[in-house]
Amino acid sequence: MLRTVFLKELKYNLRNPLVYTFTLLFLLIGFFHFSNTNPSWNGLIHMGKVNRNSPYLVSNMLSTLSVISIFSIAFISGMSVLKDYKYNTQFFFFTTPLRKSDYLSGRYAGSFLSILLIFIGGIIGIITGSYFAGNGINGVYKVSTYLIPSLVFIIPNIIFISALFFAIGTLKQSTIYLYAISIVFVIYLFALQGFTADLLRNGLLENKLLLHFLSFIDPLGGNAFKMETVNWSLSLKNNQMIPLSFLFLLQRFLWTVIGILLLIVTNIKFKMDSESVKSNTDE
Amino acid sequence: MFLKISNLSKTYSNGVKALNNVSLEISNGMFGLLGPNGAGKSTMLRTLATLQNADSGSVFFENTDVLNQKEEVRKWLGYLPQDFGVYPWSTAYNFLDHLARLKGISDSEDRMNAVKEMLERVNLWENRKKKLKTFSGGMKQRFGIAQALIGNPKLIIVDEPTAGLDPAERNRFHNLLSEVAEDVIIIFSTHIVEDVKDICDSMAIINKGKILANGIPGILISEIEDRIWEKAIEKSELEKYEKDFKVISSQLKGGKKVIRIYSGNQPRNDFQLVKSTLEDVYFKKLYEDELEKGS
Repeated sequence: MLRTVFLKELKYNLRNPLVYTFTLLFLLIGFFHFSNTNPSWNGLIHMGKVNRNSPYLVSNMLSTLSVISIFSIAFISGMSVLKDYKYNTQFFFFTTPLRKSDYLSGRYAGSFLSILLIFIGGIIGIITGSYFAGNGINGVYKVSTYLIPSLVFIIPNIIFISALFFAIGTLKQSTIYLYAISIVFVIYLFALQGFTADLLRNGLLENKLLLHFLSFIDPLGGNAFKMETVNWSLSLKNNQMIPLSFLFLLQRFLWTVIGILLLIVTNIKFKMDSESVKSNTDE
Repeated sequence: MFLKISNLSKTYSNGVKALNNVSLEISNGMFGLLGPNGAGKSTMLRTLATLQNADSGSVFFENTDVLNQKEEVRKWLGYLPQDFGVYPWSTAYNFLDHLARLKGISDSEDRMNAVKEMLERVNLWENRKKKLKTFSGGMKQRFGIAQALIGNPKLIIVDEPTAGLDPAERNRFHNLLSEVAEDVIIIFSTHIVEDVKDICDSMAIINKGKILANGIPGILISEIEDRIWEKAIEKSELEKYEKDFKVISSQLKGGKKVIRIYSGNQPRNDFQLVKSTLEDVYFKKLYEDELEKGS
């Protein structure tokens, strides 16, 4: 049953314009940033003279793409169960022997994989872009340059963002919440990261507690990464693998756990019945 | 097969008593639940379809406790909600195939045959590759019926299934249900008396959450035989007649009002004895119920 629901959801998403539009968008963003060799060009992230195939730049890009992905994930994950309420098809499913957990996890997994596809588009853009940039601005190509940042940014971030919107869409049964919370979330991240960047620029690094706090309250790990690499020289940025410190990994782990908890709460609170349907008009 | 509903009650948080101590025994065949809008029909059907909990009472299908063994019931349940939608982007075939799979027809060849047979029965086979968003109201309704009947359900619950169907479609729908009703229990709700008259083996009249009558349509009709009287009056006279007689229904016919009265003997010599119908049973019961509430 889970497999049936999962495959149907995946198939649905592969034809969902939102999925392929964002896959293409991420591919293009990756490509145009990493193929550009002009050191004074500023796109979504500052590239400078840093090697295009460095873990540092790849991580920066993936962290930024995570923020942009909120808009797509809000609707891919948020709608995966909500669409049954929107189209009033929920009772077809609720009156089959399909188990609640299979219904929810099948839909969630189907949307998760579709979101992963969007990020794979981004990675492909990043890799092909750096090839186009030429050898002058690239170091030695390594699988880990792409693999490690993907594991610490893409996977935890998708888990958290998708779980958040899956929970909202499934339990609130309203697209308005998806719009509102995705916008608030993005504004929050911009404000938080902007504030942190200002602090770092002004050299206010003594207050360790504040810095740790600022790292932890950025669910997508952008601040945590910034703290770890703020003093890096060009040579470190070119060659060093991103620092997998205890606090950094703890930060990533914490938000992943929060995501999983949101999914568990959704599974507990969700009811396959007519009484929990919000627009229900009883007679 | 046997469905036993005992003392079922449900009051909504807004104070509406949707079901008031309902008890019914239903066996194989078509069972019609007749009542005006807001009578509690949908509440009762949703409860039987495992979608809603009752405040008190019990429902047993054979040995299965319907209110507590929901997963078990869903293995052989077919349900058509009163109000439903479809995936606009999906074709009739694909959506029905998906639902059939969830209903447990896992073998792909079995499923293909079942989907084909069902779409043919509801006359949608030729439109199987069309997107559901292009379907008319009647076609959508037929799709809903197909999903309720697929997978050989033993308990079929259909809520106002004939709403939105044209007469020919309604007829075809009645035939379709009658065909499958032999070995299963079909419960369907309607506010249209003809739906019940034409096809139901047994029936109940429900109003404001209470069962007013329950039995075989023919017997219910015979109980009021020789007691229904008719007279054509001016429209303006209706109020006067309603005061003096037990007017259970009135109908416009050629500019005049034709009233029907329930009475053991001829109320006046200008009243004419007519053959009692199921409609009279229905209106008499509603009339008496209102009277009782009013007093």
